[in-house]
Amino acid sequence: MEDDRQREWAASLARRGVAAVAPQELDLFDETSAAFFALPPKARTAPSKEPLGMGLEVAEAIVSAVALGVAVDVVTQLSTRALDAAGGRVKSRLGRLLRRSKRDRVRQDESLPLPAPLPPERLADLREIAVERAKALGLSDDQAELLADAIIGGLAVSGAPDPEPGTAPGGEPTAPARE
Amino acid sequence: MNRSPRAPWSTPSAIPSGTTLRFVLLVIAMSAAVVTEGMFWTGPLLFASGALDGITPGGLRRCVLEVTKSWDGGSSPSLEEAVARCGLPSPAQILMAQVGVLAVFWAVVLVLYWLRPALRVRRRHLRPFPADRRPEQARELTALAKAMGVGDRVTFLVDLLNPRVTGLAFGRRGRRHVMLSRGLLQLYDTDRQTYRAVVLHELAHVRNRDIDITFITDTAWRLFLRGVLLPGVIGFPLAPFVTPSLSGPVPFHLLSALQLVIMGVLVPLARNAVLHSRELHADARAVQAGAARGLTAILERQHEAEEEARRAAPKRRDPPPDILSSHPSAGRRLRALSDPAELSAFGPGVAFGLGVACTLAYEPITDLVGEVAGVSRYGPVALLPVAAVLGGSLCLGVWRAELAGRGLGRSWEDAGRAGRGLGYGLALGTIGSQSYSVSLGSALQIPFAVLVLWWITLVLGGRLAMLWMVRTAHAWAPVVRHGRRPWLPVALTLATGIPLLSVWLSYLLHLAMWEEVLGRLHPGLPPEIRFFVGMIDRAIVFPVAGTEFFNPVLLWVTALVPLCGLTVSRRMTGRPRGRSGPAFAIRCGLAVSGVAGLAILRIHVQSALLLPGLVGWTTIPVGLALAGLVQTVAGVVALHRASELRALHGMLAAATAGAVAPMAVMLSRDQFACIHWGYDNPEFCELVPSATTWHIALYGQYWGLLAAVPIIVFWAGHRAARQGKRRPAGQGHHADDVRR
Repeated sequence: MEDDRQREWAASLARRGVAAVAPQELDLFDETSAAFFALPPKARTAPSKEPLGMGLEVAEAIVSAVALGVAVDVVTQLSTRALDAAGGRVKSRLGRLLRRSKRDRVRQDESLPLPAPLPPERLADLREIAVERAKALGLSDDQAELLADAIIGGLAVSGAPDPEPGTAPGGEPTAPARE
Repeated sequence: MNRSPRAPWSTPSAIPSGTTLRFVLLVIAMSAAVVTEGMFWTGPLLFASGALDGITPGGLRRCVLEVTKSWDGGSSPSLEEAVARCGLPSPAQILMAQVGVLAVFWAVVLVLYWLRPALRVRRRHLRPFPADRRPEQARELTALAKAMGVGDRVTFLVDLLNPRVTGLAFGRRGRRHVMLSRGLLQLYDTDRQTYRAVVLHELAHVRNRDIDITFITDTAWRLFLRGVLLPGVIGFPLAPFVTPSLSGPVPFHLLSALQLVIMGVLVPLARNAVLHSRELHADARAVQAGAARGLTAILERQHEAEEEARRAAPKRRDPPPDILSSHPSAGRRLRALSDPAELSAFGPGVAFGLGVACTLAYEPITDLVGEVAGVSRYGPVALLPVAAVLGGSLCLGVWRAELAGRGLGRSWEDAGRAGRGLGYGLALGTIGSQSYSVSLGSALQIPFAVLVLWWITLVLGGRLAMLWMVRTAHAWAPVVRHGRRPWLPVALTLATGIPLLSVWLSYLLHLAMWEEVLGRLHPGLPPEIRFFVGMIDRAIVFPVAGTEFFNPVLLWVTALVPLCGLTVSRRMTGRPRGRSGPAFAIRCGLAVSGVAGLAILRIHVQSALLLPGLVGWTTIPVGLALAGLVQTVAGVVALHRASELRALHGMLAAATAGAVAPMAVMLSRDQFACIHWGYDNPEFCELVPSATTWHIALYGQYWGLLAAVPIIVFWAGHRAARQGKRRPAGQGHHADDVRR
């Protein structure tokens, strides 16, 4: 995810999820989010057994990282849909061949409108995706449901990204960011 | 003397673990391979650059072979002559090239080691611990660091994306870091005990000084793998086909590649073995700092997860052996927490790795030391650096295992297997050694039968070396446990063990080459016979001090060090002396040789008085053989009468008898001559032994020992094997100490 606005959007959705599922993690959310987006996806997983490490596989569920992962997936889904819609207008064969470059141009277009409020069936689809992703990333069923509700809830309120960090897309404060 | 015994096993760091020395041996092994391969790559560059005055590789090889073949065995062709005739690079030039290659390799390693912490911080996006938002946790971290004795030398970093309950100690000198994972940070609120345990474990790595040696070795290995091993394994076999004019024969290149493959298997395994030891020691130190419950809890959690995974997929293949991982399994770590002997385990695998590393690495080192110090590369002095590292590792490992066994009231079961492991390792390493690969590609070839004999000798020699260390540690162990200066016996064992090992290895490792030398002198003898002749020959002309005193002195030291330990231990613990100790062995030797000497004197005098003209005096060869027989008998008598360390008692008794019997023979001869030819005949009658007589007597002792010692060792070994079969299972070799 290279677009800063999409990142901010994903981070704000993830923050909503963390506030709902694990508010105690909010104090380090900004740093976690910065690290998450600074590292390429493959580098986000640390090797389990490094010399002089603890050498254990035991892990704790870190909601922040999961929420960020889920939010990025959701935002990517929405962006892909939007891009496909934009790219679908190019009907010619040459246009299809150039779709990739078109997509790249669209990505770079700052004026691309982020998705408007979504229809309920689309939200339900995204919620399902979010739940599955959260479970795959290690959250329990209940936590996954809660996280998906918070993220999709954020989408339902408004598709637009946060104007400021620490505020939900609808403009409501998510939770105290600092205790 | 009723001091309460110290419990070294409860303080695992009381004696250095020797793991650092094992790392150093790996470093030496890698350096040796770097030198070998570096010369392989720089050689063609030398030819190509014209630095060798236009000499072609083929011409050089032909010339060297001619010089070698023209050698008649009388005197070795001088290196200067070969250099002059063939235009070889001078030893100084070769040395400079070797040092240059090595310097480049280690400079790169050190630069990478220096940069790695910063790269890790950047790559993992690690951040300083947020002390402003978690002040209480920050205070606790400071307190834990202080409790571990690392004070404010450590910076705590956090890996916010890592959900595992883990930490990592890393950094460079003066800038140590302990990384705390997000999963671990989480535990601060939910399971404070486990959180502290993991932090203490990581701080223990800092306290135990594990970081530098681990990361330097790891960096060296990574560079070695990519820069030396892979290019070598691919490049060596191809070189004769790609650059036939620059390369040697195919077998040489194949063996060079094999050497690297062995290194490629050995180094990671040996590194993992050492890392396991480091992890167990970090656990132990964390437990000392109060992390027992937390550590047990988290390890049990891991162990249960592993077991559950195994139960869930019973048909899945067994997990890879422990040694393939940088960390011991949770099960083993739990066992180590409840059984401190695990901490001091010194098994056959470690000994095997040490043996292989030693024989793989020693030749470039002896070349280097020989050239720098101006000593023979085949002598023990040149081998001293390798022997110091190998002997130090073995010695410390043996001491820890012995003391742990005593502390827990049980014997060290792995001693014999470790000895065999060392022997097999020494033998295996020769396959990839420089001289063997060179011998295959030169006019001097080691026959396979000789190789097999050499390997058998190395296995036996390795076992004997290990056995000596085990027995010495065993004899001195009560002094360490009860004495005021527990380090003294350990230092004594190191101070004597390392030079002895150096001498012993320099003898064993050059036996096959000696057979080649004898092949020039006695081409008619079968190689197998030449090998045995070479064993004796090399023992006689052992080029250490240039004196025949040296080998008997070696023998005295070998026997006296453990036997003195027995005496001091018994005195310290108040146990009856019994039939053991140096005094007992010397008494045995004196008694047997005294009785034999008197008998020989009486026979000579009676023959001269009663049977003049019918019986001549004993010739010197017969007299010396007689003296050798007396030495052997003295040794066997002491061996049978001693209550423990029988072979060493036998050897000391034989050496003592050797100081008496040959002189008794020489004096008896003189008495015979004086009576027979008259006291006023200075040509035959010599009432005061001359320098020549002393010299002959000394040689007599020497030859006698050569015959007596192998007999005594095999006799004692056979006897021990017989007794071992009769001994009930579980009865250890220091059961007497345990009973106390």
